[in-house]
Amino acid sequence: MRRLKYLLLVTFSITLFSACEEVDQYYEEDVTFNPERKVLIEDYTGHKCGNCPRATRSIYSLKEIYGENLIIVAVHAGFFAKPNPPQAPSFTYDFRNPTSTDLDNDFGISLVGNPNGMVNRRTNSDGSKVFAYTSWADEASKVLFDFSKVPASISINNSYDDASRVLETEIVSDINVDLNANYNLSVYLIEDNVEQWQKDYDMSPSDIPDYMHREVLRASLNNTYGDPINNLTEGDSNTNTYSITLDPEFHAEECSIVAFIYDAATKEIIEVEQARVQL
Amino acid sequence: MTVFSYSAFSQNPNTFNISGNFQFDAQYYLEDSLIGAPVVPEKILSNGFGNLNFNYGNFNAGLRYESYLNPLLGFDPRYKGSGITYRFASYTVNDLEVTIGNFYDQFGSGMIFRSYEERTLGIDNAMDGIRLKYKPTSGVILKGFIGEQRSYFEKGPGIVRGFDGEISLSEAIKSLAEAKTRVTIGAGVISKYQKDENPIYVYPENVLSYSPRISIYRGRYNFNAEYGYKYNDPSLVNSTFEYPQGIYKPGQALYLDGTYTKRGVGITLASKFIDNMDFRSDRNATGNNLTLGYLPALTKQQTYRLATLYPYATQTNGEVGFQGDVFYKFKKGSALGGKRGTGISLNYSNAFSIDKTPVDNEDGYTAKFYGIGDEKYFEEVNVEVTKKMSKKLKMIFTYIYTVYNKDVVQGLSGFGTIYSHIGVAEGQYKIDNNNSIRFEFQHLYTEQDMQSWAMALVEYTISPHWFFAVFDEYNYGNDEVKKRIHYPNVSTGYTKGANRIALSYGKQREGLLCVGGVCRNVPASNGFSISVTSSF
Repeated sequence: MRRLKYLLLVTFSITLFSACEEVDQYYEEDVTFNPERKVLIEDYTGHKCGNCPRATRSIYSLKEIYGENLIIVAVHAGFFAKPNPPQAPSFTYDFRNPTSTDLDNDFGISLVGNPNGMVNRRTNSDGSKVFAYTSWADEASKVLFDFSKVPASISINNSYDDASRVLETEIVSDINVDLNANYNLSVYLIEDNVEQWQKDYDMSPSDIPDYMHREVLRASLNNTYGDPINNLTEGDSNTNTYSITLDPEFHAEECSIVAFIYDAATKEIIEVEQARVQL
Repeated sequence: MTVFSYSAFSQNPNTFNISGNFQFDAQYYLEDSLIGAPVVPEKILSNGFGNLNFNYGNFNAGLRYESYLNPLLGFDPRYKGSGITYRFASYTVNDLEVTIGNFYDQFGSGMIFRSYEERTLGIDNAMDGIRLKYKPTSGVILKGFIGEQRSYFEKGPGIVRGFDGEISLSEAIKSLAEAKTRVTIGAGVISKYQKDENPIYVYPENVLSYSPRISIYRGRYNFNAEYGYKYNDPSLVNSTFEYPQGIYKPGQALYLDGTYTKRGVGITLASKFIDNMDFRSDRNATGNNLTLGYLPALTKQQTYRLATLYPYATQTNGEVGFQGDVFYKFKKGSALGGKRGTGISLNYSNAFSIDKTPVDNEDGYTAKFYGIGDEKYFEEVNVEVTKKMSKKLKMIFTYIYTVYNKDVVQGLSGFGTIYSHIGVAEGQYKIDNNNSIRFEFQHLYTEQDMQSWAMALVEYTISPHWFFAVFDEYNYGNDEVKKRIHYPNVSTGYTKGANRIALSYGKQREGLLCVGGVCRNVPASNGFSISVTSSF
């Protein structure tokens, strides 16, 4: 019996040594994804978060592969998004708004730290919805490599009047399978290429005065958590219309609408779409 | 926390013993915009836990319940909720100890594997699985385990397998039993598995690390050496600007230390070299979450409040450093000893970057073994003199000089290096058999960061039950007049047997916690706290 125990322990240690691999090929070869599916990545960030640009760069290099199927929204909230007092020489711009602050408080992202984010508001193995940026691609691929039928499809029709700065948007949600839970529709206004200060610890000096902030969440068109979708049977079509007057400082040509449908109980997003304000 | 060790309890195997301990900390937060204390919507936050242990001869079982409703500020907010976070059963039969469920353990000093808890710091990377410990013969300990790791109230995505063997040569080999030199050698192996779900990068799913070690004792001398090697392990922590998903370079570390002790004298010298040795069971984890390896800082653990303003944290991606400690007690009646003897403690420690050469591939860089780089991360000199002034009064005088590279240690930029001098005078005065008073005066001088601070503390103890304390930290030297704030605090406590309750009210200064490239702001706070501990 004693010898058997010895043998077991020695065998165990030998198998351990074989439980190792050295990688010689660093990149996957096949990245075919389901073109019907789109995924939303919310990048929780702040202009004083010096570690955040690395996360943003990494997700935009993924967008080069997935294009329109990867929708990125930057949510500025929390400690690192706080602006300096108006008389300070830099970082005086306030990127925050009631929607971004509400989302950050409710999902507790910045409280964990920045950079961090959410992927289709899915739940992580640790029980939270917080994902480190190195795992955004992993989680996004679970959505994009799902070849089953997309439960809903969204089309966005924008109509913008330059003179009045009023944007009218019509969101059509087509239901492709019978849905048995409560679903809500959220509609956000995003502005791309906002040039402001940003700290970047990968650069020297680390204070960048003319950083191009990508896809900034500016406002919600239907409250932070949206409106319920009423018709959820296969074949149904729902139309919601909203309007918003663009802030005078927003550049309409950089703005877009991001609309998504999510499970009201789990908060998980089932489909998302993005469309520019001006074509 | 009661930790279960291998040795069987030497008691009547027919008695059933139950023991346990409990701790509860709660704080009521007041809004205070002057110090930057945030609004806490719940008003009251609390952390609590209770352990229960059962023992019957060679059989042990236990569990722990934790509750964070919601977690105190400064704790990772993912600890939200309540539940049983630790449960195990173990028995020992014929030199084999079997544990099922949760367990803590370490290989050597923990370089490739240390599973432990430090609840007040929010650290708990307990394993959940099966562990076997076997003593085939005297002086030989073999350990093997397989399990998953705790991640808040869930488990991490990795599977960890480990094996460790340790031989105490003088116990195992009969001819060495009487030898003056006692040698212990050991080696551990850890393999972790984590699925590669990344659509672009190929991650190694199985990562192996190993660590041999040796300890030598001879009379007054003791020498230890421990080496660790880790195969390719790209992760968030070792990511770089060029390779934001992590680098494929292997890692290694070497810790050496030697001690000489004699009555009244103690000398310790230690050195460390770390190159890309952050080791976790989840390549996306940071901070205190899901760590497998433990790399000690090799700097003095400070207890005086102002000395904790600039704490050093091990740079697991790479550092090289040295620490030396000398303790000497001047005898009673000698020139420096005075009437009652004087103790003097000297400590010196430093840490530098390692000598890296960037390479143009996914390895990221190459580093010279034990090569010292250009950047100083930390340097500290501690001088402590302890003297019994009279029958009732004992004084401790401390001087600390610290060079602190705040940018590197806290993962920031633009703060530079902070040079500070700290002076502390602590006195313990025994009024009579039941009453004693302790006081501290601390002063920190620096021209950088927040500039100078002063601190004073008085603590009155009435044996055996009561204590009262009052202290204040004052940032009097801050260049910004608005930030010259007092952080006062009053507290009192009552201890009776195994129970203790403490209440306090005060302001706490804000801090920034940056670990592994993710920074979290620990806000300032103003409020009432209560702390209850008990054990049975």
